[in-house]
Amino acid sequence: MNGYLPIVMFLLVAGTLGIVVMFAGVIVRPKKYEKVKFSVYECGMPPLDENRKRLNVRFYIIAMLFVIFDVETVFLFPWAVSFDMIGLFGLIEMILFLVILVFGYFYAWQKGALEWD
Amino acid sequence: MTPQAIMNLLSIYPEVIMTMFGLILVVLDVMTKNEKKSMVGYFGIAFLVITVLIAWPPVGKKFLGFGNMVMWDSYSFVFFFIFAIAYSLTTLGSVSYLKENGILKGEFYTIMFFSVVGMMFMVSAYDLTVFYAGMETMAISMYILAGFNKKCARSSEAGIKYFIIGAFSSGIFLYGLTFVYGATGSMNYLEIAAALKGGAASTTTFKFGLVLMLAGFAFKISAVPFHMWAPDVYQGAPTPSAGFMTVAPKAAAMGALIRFCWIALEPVGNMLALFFGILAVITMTYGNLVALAQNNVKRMLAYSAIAHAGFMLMGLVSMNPEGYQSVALYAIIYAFMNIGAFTLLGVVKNKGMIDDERLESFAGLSKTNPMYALGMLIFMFSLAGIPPLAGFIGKFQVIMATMKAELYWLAIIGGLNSALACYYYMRVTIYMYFKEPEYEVDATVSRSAFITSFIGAVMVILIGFFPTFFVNLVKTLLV
Amino acid sequence: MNAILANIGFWVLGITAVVSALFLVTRENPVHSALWMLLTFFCVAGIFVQLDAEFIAAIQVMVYAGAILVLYMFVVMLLNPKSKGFIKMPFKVILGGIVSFIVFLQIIMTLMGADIIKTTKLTGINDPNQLGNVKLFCIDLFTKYIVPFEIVSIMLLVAMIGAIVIAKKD
Repeated sequence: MNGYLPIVMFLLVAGTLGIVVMFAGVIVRPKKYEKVKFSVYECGMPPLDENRKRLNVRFYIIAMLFVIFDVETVFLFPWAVSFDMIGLFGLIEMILFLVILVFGYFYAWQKGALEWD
Repeated sequence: MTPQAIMNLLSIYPEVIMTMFGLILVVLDVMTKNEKKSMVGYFGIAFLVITVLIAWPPVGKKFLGFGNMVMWDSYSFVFFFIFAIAYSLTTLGSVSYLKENGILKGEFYTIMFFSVVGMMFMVSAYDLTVFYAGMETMAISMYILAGFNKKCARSSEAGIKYFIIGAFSSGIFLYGLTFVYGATGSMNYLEIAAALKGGAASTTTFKFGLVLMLAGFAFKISAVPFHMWAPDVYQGAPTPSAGFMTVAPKAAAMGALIRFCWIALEPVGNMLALFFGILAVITMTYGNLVALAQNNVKRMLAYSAIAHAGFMLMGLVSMNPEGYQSVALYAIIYAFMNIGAFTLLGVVKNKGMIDDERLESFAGLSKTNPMYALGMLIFMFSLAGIPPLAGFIGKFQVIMATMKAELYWLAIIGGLNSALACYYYMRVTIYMYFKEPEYEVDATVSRSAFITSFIGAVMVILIGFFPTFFVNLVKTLLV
Repeated sequence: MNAILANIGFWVLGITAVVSALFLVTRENPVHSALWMLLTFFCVAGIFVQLDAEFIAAIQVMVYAGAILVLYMFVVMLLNPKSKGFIKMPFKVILGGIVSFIVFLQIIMTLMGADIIKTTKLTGINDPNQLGNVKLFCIDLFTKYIVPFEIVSIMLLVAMIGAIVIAKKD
């Protein structure tokens, strides 16, 4: 626990600094409100439409594959940490784990899930 | 190889073989052409047959490996056999349905195959971590199977509903698990039992955790009051996957629950009997009463699936070997009759403006398609538990086990419920045999649907007429 | 001194987590909800650190604050949901509220009188001279819990195939 004290201090300082700066701005800055100031800035043009458009569903596959491989990395991380203790047994185990997932990678690749079209 | 290593391998080899076959299926799916995707399913059946033959256990032998985590014995095998039946029947019957709906993809079979692996782990688990990992594998596969027809809004709705409720129930289950772990200090069934004998059973922590865990289980077997998802999901899902989903995951959850109660919760068995008794009564009665009011046969079968889950729970209440033998037998019979019924349901196409599965579609089918009507009649009679057919044997065995445990009130309620259930199953046959056709209905049974329903009907009749053989078979396997 | 610090830390993190979770479910703009969710995740990660579960804290940040939040944002952008206000169903809301409140009370009661066994499996957790906490956890994960670990890879494979088959245009 003690090792985290510097981090806590750091977070405290950072947080305080942020809040102080923000409130200092509120107190110090001149306040002149205009309608144009609150409009959305779009290259100096008046905005044509909302900026939030529906994305293509392809992004979803990419995001989903990212999550799955991310979870895989979560298991690689502790394996790397404890590798000196578990040795060959752990190596074989991790190879099995990865082989099963490589089949999934192979599948995604062959089905064209990694391509944009 | 030390004896320990051999034991480890023996305790897990069917699952290992199944996983390797599943990976081969993934490759096969990539390699086959689009119009030949049913090959993947047929290969899956072949692989299952091979695994069943390899994995046939010596009766009475128990292989417990990996630090008492996984068990391969005849109990696991019987449930594996049920999943294999469900997979094979569903695959055989699904081809034409999937083709007509434009969703004949190899993934359907691959995912179903991997769900079987998950279910095997569930049933053979001796440790809650293994159980939970297996359950999630099964559950994720089921979400995908429910939403497989992505062009159909109902199917997508079913998939999302199932996913949200499933994730929620998993969360409840895990939260309960943490409490049980906190109270007993272990996730291993044997160690939990030891801790309960040592006094952990009376702690509030344990009781609270157990209630949450059992609620999670109840979600999976769609026991009332945790059944809300079931009708919508079973109705919305593509018909073949609905057939599979009503049988295999339920059998798996039942098998795992029995093992968990029988081994880990053995010291608190008496406390549980009442809990499961009440759950069984509510589930049966509610499922049957609501099924009475349904005009859509698929939705009616969904509610009847809830009622059947309640009936299977009855076998759990008796807490004797007859109880779980009867549950296993019931699950086998239920696999044959329910997947058969769902397969036949999938071929009905109403050319009028109403849903294919409406009761009116079935009016007068005995005149336009007598073979179809006969098949449906057999399944409906069996589901209702009319004496010469298999459904009766299943119900009879469950009620006998309850009687043996001297739970007469439960046996009586069970009997009354099966009488109640007759009404809505009979309604389908009455529509088929005594009503005039209202709409133009096409119920041509395709070859693949014919094979499944034929096997189902033959097995239903065989088990019905020669019950002693099958009952003894299950009994010798589940000593 | 240390105990007091830890206590303050817990309360700050806990209250922030609960408050930001409340904001998460009440915001009308889903993007704002996502940002509150991020704060909740970080606070929970902080609590895990306090419980000497650094590995889980790391996962919390990596998977939840990283991957899951990205996925969440993608879904928001895919669907572009417009808030239609709250759907009115007072009876169900009240019933649900009562049930949740009872369960909440029950959890509190259980935790107040909790008789949790201090598991001795991970020996030396608080002993700086021995192996680190993460390392002990990892050794257990890769030796004792090898079977669930391998099942997870099957589960991930199924999830991958499923995601592709559901989302891919054909």
